[in-house]
Amino acid sequence: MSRSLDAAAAREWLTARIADCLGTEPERIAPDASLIGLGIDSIHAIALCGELEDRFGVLLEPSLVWDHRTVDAIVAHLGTQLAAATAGTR
Amino acid sequence: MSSSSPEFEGLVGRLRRHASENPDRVAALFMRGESQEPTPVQLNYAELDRTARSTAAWLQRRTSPGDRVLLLHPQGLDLVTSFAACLYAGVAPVVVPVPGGHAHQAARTAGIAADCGAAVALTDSGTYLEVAAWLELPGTPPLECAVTDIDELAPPEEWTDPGIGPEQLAFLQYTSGSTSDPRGVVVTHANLEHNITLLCEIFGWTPEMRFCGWVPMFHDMGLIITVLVPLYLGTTTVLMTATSFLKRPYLWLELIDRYDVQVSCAPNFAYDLCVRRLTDEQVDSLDLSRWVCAVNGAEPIDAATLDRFTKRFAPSGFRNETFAPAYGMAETTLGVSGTAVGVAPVLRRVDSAALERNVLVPAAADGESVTLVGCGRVGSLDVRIVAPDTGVELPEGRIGEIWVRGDSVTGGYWQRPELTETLFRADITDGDRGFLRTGDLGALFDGELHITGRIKEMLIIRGRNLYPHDIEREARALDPRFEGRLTSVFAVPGQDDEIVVVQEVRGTALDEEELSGLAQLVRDELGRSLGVRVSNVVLVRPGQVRRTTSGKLQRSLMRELFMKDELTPLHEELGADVRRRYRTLAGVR
Repeated sequence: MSRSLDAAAAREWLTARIADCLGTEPERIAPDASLIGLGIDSIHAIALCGELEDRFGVLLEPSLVWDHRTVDAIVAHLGTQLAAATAGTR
Repeated sequence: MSSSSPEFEGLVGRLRRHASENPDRVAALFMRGESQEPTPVQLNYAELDRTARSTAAWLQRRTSPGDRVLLLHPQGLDLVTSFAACLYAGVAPVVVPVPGGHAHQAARTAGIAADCGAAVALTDSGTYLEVAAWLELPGTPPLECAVTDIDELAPPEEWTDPGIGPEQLAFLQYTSGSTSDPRGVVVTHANLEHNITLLCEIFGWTPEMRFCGWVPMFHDMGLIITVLVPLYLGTTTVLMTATSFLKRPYLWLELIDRYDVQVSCAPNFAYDLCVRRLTDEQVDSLDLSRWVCAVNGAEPIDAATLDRFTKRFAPSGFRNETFAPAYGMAETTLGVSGTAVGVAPVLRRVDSAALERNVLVPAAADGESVTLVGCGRVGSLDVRIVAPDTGVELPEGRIGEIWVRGDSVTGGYWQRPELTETLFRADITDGDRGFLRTGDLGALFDGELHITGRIKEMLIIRGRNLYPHDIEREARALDPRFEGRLTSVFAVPGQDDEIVVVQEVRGTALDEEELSGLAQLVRDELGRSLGVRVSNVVLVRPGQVRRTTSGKLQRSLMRELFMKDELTPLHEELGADVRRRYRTLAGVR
């Protein structure tokens, strides 16, 4: 399994999922906008965390959206986690 | 069994009996971990009894009967055994959220610790570091804290049965009240016994049924339905964490299938989450045909949710009559009314205009209507509908405040005699005396209790009770330009209940960009500290937030002005759903 992250694809997917949660269009989710400010609450945040885990095969803290507050920040964090997981496995 | 109160068995007597009659039966099974594949760990009735006696013996050396003990365990088997241990020792367990990352949560847990006056806390090795850090915080009261899961704290043989009587305190349930003013509901063993019996009667639960859930034990529904009822009945309960459910709703339904579960419960939003999140493949892989009771409670029940879930999971064998809409609260131990196994939920189309005049009238076929979900039949309690302003009892079909009297109604709020007197000992004008005022509005119709709203200003968001004054206080502290100004917080109906913050701003020379920045700050920071969405912020000039002459905020008036678009805001940031409902000229209400 490839463990490197296609950041553009991840950003697009994440933006679409967030737009779906909020019932809005992906164009309205700026990559540097605070997700909590956009209306993501703790229930959405933990659900999103589970979706990301399943899609990218990493384990994330339920506090993800509080620790990494924008789409860009989450994608960067995912990249780091995947790189660490690759380095840690054979 | 040698008990000094032989006529009253209670939960402790039941647990001792199950341990001797069915020692190997699984009492609780817990899915540990929050990965895709959590590990099942389990505890049988003999093990539960032994650990409970051991911890109880340790507690008995340090406490006197009636003392309170704080339980700082996350969801899991240690929490179940520590809860039982407290009951064995005759002390009252107080289940609280483990104070983790949020400062809000650390403060709330500290507030409860101080309010209940606990001197002792129990935790486990996996949680101890977090608890130790919390104990160091300046706002946390001093507590002697023991770890229950490394060695037995004391020899189980040292436990002595305190001979618990029905009127003794069983536990305190902190689900209502605010951070600054926590309220612990005082539940006696008699309350617990009466309500467990009532729940089994209204829903038709039997000892042959298995239970499952993820609602935390610091929540009344999680504690009673998914832990205390199954332990009382001597059956098996399957538990998972709320985080695990929220990450993967599939796991909840999969447990119901895998462990042949008949009874589970969740607030309304959870059923919607399942509809949204499960794939067709997952739906097809599930067999939900043996699930006979899906309690829906703890937040307003949406007829559309029941319909969506039933349709979505029909291929899994889920049936409409499995849904059991219910009504209750910690103040009545838990249950007041519910829908029996095998009985379909009652959906009633009522006339919109009549509803606004507080009357339930079935809607004409082509008339404007609202669909209400009946919350089932009232159990062995005396429920009346009363005009909240005059205290006069109202007839069937009229909407008023729900008042309750009977053996499940608890003793009130811990060390709040005046509040308890006002809310738990209300008298009907020229009528019967001694009722609990629930603060909820509803009507009895055709034998079913229907809930239509709340008169309390408390906000119930995602099953959590939030208090406007807490949010207002936090908002005001966010920026110097809010200092000394007024804030008003209320909820308006949307897809979910939506929080609206109206904030006065000092100084008038702010441009649009600065105002937008302030509104964003409020949305962002409140969403972060409260853990719920705050999509709607209205900034107004000083003097716009209305108060009575005695200085009391008029939140209902502010809410009405907001919904009718009669505020004159400097700036307004609204969520899409709220804007569509309340700000579109063509919008139909």
